[in-house]
Amino acid sequence: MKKIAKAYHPNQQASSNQAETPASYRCSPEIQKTMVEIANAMAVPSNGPLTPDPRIRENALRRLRRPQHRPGILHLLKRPLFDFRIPVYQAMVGMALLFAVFFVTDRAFLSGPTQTLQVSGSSPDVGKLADSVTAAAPDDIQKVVKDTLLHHIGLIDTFLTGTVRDTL
Amino acid sequence: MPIFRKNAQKLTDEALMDRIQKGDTDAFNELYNRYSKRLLYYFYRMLGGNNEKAQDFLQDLFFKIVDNPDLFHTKNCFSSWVFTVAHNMCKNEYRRQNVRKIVAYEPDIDLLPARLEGEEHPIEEQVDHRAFQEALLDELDKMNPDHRTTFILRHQENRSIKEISAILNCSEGTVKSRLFYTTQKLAKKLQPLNPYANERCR
Repeated sequence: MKKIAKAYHPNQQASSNQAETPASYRCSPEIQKTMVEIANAMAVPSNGPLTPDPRIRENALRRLRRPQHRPGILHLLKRPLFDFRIPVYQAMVGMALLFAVFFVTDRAFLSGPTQTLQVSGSSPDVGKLADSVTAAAPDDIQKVVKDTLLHHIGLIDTFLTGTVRDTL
Repeated sequence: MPIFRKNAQKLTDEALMDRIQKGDTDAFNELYNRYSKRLLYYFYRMLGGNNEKAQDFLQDLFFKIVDNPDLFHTKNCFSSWVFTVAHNMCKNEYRRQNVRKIVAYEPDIDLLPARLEGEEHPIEEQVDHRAFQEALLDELDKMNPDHRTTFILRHQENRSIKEISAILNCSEGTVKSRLFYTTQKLAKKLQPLNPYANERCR
């Protein structure tokens, strides 16, 4: 440890009292002088040939004078979603897009064949149909209809288009 | 404005950074005068004597200071902070070089300091000194980056062991052992090239 403490700064080492240090711990005088020379060579000269490019100061000052834009909430919201590094966000955006496309486009392929009833008071078939519906238990019919997925889709369809379709 | 300039010269680095955070250009000029050359030499020696790259890194570092001055907390020591940022930039560069396997470039040896300041020396000594510096730069470039940066911070920036350990985020013992190893190795390698070794031993 003493050896390390002596050697890590050659400038201090050269002027230190070497009598206290055992000879086996000391490096040769040539090595010591070289260490001192290395330390001297590492100094930064005040008028050396290596000088900073004056354009660096100009560019930095120009940046400093430019009005600072602090990122607010709106700015963060405007950030492109696909800039996120974690792909989970991209997957979520993809899912949202698919969901949006699903609701915007026609979902006829899910609702099956649509049958529109032509209601006419004079038709005898309508009378028979009406009789059969009233004969059936109204609670049972309602229960069956409510339990179907098609009923839910029909409700959404009614909400979106304003028309009622008989999806059954 | 001259009154303020006088004040800016008296301010500490941390106070100057506080003013830079408010957009003060005079404070920036003062800070630039204090650190630009030291940082340039640091980058120059850390990046194997490539002047162009050192200038680019210096510009990037000052852009970071200007663009995000809030990253620095004025209660901390600016000098340690700026060298920590510089060290991290160099580490990133080493990583990039490892990935790209860049071919080693020749150092700009004409930019090495010719001779110690304030002394008149014959041309032979200056040539010897230049050769010594070139060899030193070459040997430093062969060193492990952590050893190199420890050595530069100690001998170029005259940082204390404690400061270096804070900048490099390692223990003081590690800093000491790195310095011991690097200095011994460099001294042994460069001893034949030392133009003053024999002269002073007489």
